[in-house]
Amino acid sequence: MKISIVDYGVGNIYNITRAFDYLGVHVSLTRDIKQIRESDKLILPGVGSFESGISNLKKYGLDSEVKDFYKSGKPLLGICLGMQLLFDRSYEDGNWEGLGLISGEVKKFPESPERSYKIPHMCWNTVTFNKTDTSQIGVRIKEDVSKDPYFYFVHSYYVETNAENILLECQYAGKHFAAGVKKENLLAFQFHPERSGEAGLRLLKAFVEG
Amino acid sequence: MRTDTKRIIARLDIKGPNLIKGIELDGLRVLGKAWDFAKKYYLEGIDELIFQDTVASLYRRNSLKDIIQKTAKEVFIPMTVAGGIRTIEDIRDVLHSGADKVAINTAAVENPNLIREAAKIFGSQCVVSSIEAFKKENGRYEVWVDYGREPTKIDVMDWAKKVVDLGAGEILLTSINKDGTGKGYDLELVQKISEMVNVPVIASGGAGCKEDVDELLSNTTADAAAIGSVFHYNYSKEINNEAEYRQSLKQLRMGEHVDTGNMDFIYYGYGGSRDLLVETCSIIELKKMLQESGKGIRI
Repeated sequence: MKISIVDYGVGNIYNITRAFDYLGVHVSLTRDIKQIRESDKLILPGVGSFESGISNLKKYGLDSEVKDFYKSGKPLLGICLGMQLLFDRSYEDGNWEGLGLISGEVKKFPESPERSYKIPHMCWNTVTFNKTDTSQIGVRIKEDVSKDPYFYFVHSYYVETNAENILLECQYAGKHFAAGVKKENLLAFQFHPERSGEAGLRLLKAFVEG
Repeated sequence: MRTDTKRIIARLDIKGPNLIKGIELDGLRVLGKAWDFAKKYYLEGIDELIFQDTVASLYRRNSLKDIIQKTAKEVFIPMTVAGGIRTIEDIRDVLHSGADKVAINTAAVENPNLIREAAKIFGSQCVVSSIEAFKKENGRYEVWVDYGREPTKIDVMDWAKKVVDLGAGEILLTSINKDGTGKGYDLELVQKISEMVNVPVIASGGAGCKEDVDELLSNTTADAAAIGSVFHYNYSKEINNEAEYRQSLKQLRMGEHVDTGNMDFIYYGYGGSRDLLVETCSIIELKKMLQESGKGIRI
């Protein structure tokens, strides 16, 4: 099975590769269009600003490739910024159009004047299951998450989307937000599975085996 | 009801390949291989790791990179590297090796623009401002650099505000007066900074027992507690398994010049005239206690 991680020059992606190495799964880090098209599964990672993310994808001609990959029906996994880019738009330092594969928007967590919580949301937080997805991977994720619901989040912006897209929910800064989304062959997590210990590795494994 | 948690972070002071502890009269006490402790803590449920290079120089840099690279292969929680980060290239190098964040102190004081640049290139979430604070007689706190060796005359409050404006995504706040004493965190310092800035604050320096950590989380809005000796001395015996490990250390010592510090603690279980200043405990003991006292903790 050919699994590729999109390398579009944004953020620290090597730890995702290391997580797969640890799981004994071969993945390629690539921005080559042919390799991406030939992949059986694709991962869109990302750390950093929405603006740099979307402009880098466009720079390498990868925005249309990711859209096409989704249309092909093959499994696509988005992580952190990679999840946010899949949506319609983000209001991070402006108004940026995303890939529009799922409807929804990316908004900023409100600041706490009393400093009772900080931005970014940078900590382990628990996720809850929002809907029962009857697909094989949906069922497996539910089992995994019920074993250990703590995952590591680092983000200042959160996704607001229709309930039907939300697989996993989390709360911070008085907001309930999408921690995990699923739409057909598209799966994405706001938290970092490669930084969430065994709990995160289980989800990566589920994506590979799913 | 909030579900976010406070982070329990292990701070590892590093020299060469070793975990060390600076002991006033006895120099640097070697506690074992840093990599062994990092892996152990991960398996025991630590939330994050900070690797603090204590003798940062060009010569030593590669040892810390080796530790991170090795650790990153098997440890999947956030890791921060502190000490000796001077340039954008240093940051890039360390992040590629497996670190998620870099903590910058001295280089930022000399050139605050480094923080702005780093935040722009790598993102604020990768850039931690490491602030070492010395409490002066007049009650004000002064920024010190070079791992607690040099005063700067800069006020900590002013500096904290400045680094956040420049783009630091987090503050690692160490009390120089309390560090290594086991007498508890400097709660006043932590709360002053925590209530002033909008970014997460990690309190470091002074934890002597699990109650100190509870006190920190009860009396301040710190987001994380960095802990050293309380864990290191708890696990060092287990990690430095008697016969096999000591034998390999002896061989190492005989064959080459081992300029890494005082090895007496590993060999004989003590180091000079200083008693242990801390009440040790395991990671899970601390976490359970904190959870029982009502703190949001990941278990």
